[in-house]
Amino acid sequence: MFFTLLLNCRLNNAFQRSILIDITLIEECRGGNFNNFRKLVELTSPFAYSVAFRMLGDEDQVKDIVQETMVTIWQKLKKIKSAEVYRTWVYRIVVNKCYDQMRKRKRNPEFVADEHTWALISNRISEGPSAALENKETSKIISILTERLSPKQKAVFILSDLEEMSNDEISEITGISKSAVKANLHYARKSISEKVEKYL
Amino acid sequence: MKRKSIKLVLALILMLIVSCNEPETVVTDYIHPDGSVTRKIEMKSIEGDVKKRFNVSDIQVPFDSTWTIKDSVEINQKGDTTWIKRAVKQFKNIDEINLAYKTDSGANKEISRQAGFKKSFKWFNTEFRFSERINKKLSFGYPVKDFLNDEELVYFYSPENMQEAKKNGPDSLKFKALIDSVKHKTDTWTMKNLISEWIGEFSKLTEGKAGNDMAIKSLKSREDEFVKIVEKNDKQLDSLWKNGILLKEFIGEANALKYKTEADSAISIVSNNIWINFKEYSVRIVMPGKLIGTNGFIDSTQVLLWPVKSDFFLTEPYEMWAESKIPNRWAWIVSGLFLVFVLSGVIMRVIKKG
Amino acid sequence: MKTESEKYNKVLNILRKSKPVLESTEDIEREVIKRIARVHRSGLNLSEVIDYLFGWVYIGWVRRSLISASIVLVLVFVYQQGVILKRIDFLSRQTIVIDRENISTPANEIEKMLLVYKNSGRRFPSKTITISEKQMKEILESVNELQTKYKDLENLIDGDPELKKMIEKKLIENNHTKINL
Repeated sequence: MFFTLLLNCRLNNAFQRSILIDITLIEECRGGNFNNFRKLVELTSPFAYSVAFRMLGDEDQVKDIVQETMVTIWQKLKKIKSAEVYRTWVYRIVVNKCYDQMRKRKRNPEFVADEHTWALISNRISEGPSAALENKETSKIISILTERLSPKQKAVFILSDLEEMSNDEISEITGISKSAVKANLHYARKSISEKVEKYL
Repeated sequence: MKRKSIKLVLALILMLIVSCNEPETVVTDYIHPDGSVTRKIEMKSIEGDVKKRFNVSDIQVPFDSTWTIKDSVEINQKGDTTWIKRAVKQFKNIDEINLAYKTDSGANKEISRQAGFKKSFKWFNTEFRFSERINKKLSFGYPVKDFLNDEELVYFYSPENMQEAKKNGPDSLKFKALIDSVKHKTDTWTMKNLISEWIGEFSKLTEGKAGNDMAIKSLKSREDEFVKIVEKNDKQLDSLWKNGILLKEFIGEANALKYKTEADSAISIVSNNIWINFKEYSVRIVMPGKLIGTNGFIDSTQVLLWPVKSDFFLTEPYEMWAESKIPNRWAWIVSGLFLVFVLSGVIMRVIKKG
Repeated sequence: MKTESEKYNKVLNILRKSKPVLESTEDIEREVIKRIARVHRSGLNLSEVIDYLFGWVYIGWVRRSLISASIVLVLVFVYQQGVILKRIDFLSRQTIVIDRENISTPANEIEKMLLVYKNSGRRFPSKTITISEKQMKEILESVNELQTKYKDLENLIDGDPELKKMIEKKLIENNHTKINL
């Protein structure tokens, strides 16, 4: 009998998006089982990568963040209350590391939006919902759309509208209150939709 | 029953009990943080006759063979000789001092004294309080502060040398008027105390036997009247009392005859309360740490001084107290480290959040 | 309006669908193991120590309790010191008696301090006072006056040899008769 932990709270596409991590695997890693830790890295890295990439957009930086996250998980896994809080805890580590990185490169925006870029985006979008974007394109678009947002607002937007998490989870991950989450989200959506309206 | 005439009692009260060759005594208490006390007695005498010079029974505080004694002599420029007797004893705690007071057989054995010591830990500082208290003699007396104003009270409680200096100093004229006023008022105070005490004792003795006119309230309301009677007959007090004339004037002939015995007993009790053997001395206290409060006189070396005279504890307890503090260094360090630790944590959090 | 939200939702849907994909986890695993081994070798690092010492900051109730305790400690300290300073100040105004001499209540703080200094064996009581410029000027004026008078006196004595002899004799006498107790 093994216990599985369902890591996605949204009902839409829940099965597609759920990441199953065996709770006994986590408990064994907490007990110091290094062999099983490799398995944990294999299972955790994808969703850590997803969030970090959407936040930062730079492949190398993101890989670095994911590696650091896994090292931190190994060092501090014993200190978490239980295996049930594992997912939220990992997201918290990733988001905090992304904040640190974003602070460092505050004044050097990754991408600058111009007419040509917007046209490209518009074309891609008009190809329809079936056309998934490549990593580079995704990061460009997110970066441009969230250019004017603070790190916190960006994190809230990504976790809510792209990662499809609940406000409770976002509040736990970012450490801000639910009302602050709502306010940040509202501002982020407003800013992005203004840009979308103006340029697309 | 020993019977003292009013006049004699009055005379004794009004007279300063000073004997020309009595040693001048200073008792110094060195208070230690653990509550132990080193008591030093210094007696100075100019008495030529060695037999009369220092008697153990004349010492103003409890004294016995456990004291360490040292004698010395001083000769001044004029060639006058002063003999000095110094004695030291270590008391482990206040209880030993109080026990010594209880079993005192010295010059001041008739007065009731106790010492007190309190040590309070107040985190940053440890505060010490030492006190020596002499209980009052009269039960129905008036506080002297009801008769003297603030300036007069300061003079009243001052040490002899301060009083002398004021008398002979640059403001001697001003102080002469003050001194006269103090003398006059203390005479009145003494008289009122004597009469009030007698009324109190007399009422106690006649309680239950006499009518309401002998009750303390009734007699007290006529106290001023009695004072006037006594003052009017100042020169013949003794004989007038013996003949019962004074008493008749005060409480009426019938009562005077009926309660003569009680009246005489009351006078006897009053004279026993007032007529106590007491030798004046000075008390000095040296407190541990820094001085923060006292009701004594402070000299230049931060040693505290009180004169002890019989007037001071006639109608009120005479308390000599001093307070001092010693900083608790380790508490300061721990508190400082704690504050630095908390502040660092808060600053780090603010930086990380920002 | 409808068109706007449609555009926005379209963008969002595409972004949502286009989840970033991690090509290979093996590289990540390899690097992670390398780093963990490196950390083990290097032992405890500074950030770990700091995290260990200051981990409490992230626990709300602990942080709030410690901050409250600090504030209370500071308030207690300020209150205690205030009370003590008040008592010492009151004490300093009490009349001073010095050995066998005495002084009547001095006119001002400086007079008090000077008299104490003079009679206490050149020791100041443990207290500081501030004096105004005016008081400073008064002191300096009196010092200058004394210096002038002293010079005049010196000249007088030098001018009269008999007087000089008498004064010298007196000074020697005074030195001899000082008794050390």
